[in-house]
Amino acid sequence: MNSLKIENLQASIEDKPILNGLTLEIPKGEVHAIMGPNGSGKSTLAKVLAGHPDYKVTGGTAILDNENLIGMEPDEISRLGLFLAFQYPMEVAGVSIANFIRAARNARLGKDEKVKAVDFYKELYEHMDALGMDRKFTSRSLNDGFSGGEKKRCEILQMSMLNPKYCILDETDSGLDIDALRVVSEGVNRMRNPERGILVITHYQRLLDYIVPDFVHVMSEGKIVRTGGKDLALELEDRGYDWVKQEAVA
Amino acid sequence: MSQETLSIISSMDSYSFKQPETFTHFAESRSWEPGWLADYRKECWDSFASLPERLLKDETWRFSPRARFGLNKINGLADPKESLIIEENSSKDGVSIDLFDRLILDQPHCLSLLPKIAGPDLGANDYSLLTGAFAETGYLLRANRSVHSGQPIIVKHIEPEAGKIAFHHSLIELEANTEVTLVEKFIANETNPGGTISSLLKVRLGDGARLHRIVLQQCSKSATLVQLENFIIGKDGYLSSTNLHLGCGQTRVESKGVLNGPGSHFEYGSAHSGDSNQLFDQRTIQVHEAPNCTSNLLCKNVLRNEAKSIFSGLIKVRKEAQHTDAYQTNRNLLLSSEAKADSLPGLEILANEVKCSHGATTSRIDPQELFYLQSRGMSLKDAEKLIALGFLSGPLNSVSHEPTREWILNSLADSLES
Repeated sequence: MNSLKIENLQASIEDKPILNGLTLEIPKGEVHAIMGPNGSGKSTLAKVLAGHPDYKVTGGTAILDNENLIGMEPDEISRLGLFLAFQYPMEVAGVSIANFIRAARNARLGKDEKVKAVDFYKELYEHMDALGMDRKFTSRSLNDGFSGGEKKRCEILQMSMLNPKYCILDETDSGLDIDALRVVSEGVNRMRNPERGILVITHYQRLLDYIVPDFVHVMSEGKIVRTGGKDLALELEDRGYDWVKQEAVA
Repeated sequence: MSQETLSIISSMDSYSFKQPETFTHFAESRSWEPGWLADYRKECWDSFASLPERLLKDETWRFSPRARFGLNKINGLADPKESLIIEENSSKDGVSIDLFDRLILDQPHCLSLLPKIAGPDLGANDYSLLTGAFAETGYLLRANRSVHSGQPIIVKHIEPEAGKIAFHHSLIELEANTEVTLVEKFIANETNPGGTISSLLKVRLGDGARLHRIVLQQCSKSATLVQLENFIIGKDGYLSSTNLHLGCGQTRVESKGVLNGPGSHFEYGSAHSGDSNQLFDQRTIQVHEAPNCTSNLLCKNVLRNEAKSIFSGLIKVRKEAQHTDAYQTNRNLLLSSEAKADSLPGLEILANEVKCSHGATTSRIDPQELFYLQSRGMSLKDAEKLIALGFLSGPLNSVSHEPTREWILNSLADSLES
């Protein structure tokens, strides 16, 4: 199996159902986009797949290659190869970006193994240069006092350094100006390859001008209600979401 | 009762600080000391003996289970030769450091400032007075001429064996425009842990003198430490005291910073990581006596299991100390529901043109923050450790000597790792 295969996924928070039988398969080598109105459950899907403890999965499966992620701890899911770029990355005071990513890399090694500092920094600097991040950033506290753009670049930096099999980008475009959007998108595009599946969650079509998806899905009331090619995004931009919802009901 | 048991009891009794003979015998054994020192010891002993019984409601011990600092577990004095060590090559041109006991023999006049400076007087006066009366060791650090010593001078306080107490009475005197970095390590007794250290430090900085002092305490989890210090900072002087406390079953810290000359600065940082049922009881006072002085205090505690911390801090601004700029912050992070942190920040301001603020917070780790770290592959435990490390590194980052800063941050990381 070479895909992230979500089948009939149902999840709720505080007994309120959010995902109502969502089915979606993201094979390696493809970029899928999910669009949908506010409250349709897009971010919930991202958090449920990453193992957020606040959500209760009431049915369905999410198979990453051969393993069902449902019921796993967030760190296990991460180490299996799923990366979630957060819509609102948390600030972690006193922990530098470099030490944070190093700890994440060490978590993927055996008990007595550690990443080699020289190799690590070489790689880190290469990725930072590509993302147009000042090297001074390495010693700054993670996301502490960062602008929206800096936070999102930092998410993409982590994604590049952790080399995941599947990436989920949750509203990565929110809070970005055009320049930052371009840089962040280029960072994502560099990660496109036949060995990796990418899911982009967005509210606006704008991001998909930069990260061109293979498929676009529309989500409404916790389900995928329509799937199409990249042109579907343009159509949604023109016509809004209501017609999709109406067709879905009909 | 066997003869042997009786003799043990009587030997214990002979070290009871409740009996006058304990001091008389000690004073006799030190009869070779100069008269002023004998007088000072006697004065301290008499003051100790006349201390009132411990009050049930004593504000200076509020929230503290004071019995854990009881003197009744003490059955003798530690060997002074084994309890304080100055690392070799510590003396440099213009800077001298020597042991209290060596100086009493060779240059007793060097210590004559000791009786003239009081202890911090923040509650543990019993320990302060007993240290004055019984200390047989300590260090004297002096800098004259305009030295700027880059490499730190290192002093080690060694935890005595269980039942024993080590009294360390030390003095730092920096003349005008000198600069010194001092590292004090409190080291565990590996073979028979559980002793007590009572360390009383008196510091006087001349005009424009700068002292960077770093304390790393890694005593055993059954040891007791009473760390008392009084810093007097002269005109345009600068004193930073950065403390990392990791060990000890119970620690009482009393730190007093006196901004005695205009334009002086006092920087105080403290980080403590507590586990099991460790108790960390910290009392501080920033006394602004002169105008145009600044002081900044940041004390942070991370507490696991049933660990407990108490912070009580006061900023006191005298009438003359106009244009004071003073801060005091205490932050606590609780990693279990049984851990407890009490905080008593305070201000007492008599001048009218000042900028003072204080703040105290106690919080738990935000579950969203934990999820973020876990989503990057770190286990829950590793995520907690990393957050604790980040939290405690704040007060330690002010160490300006870079190798020392790295060393102390690594010591913290290692301790969280184990």
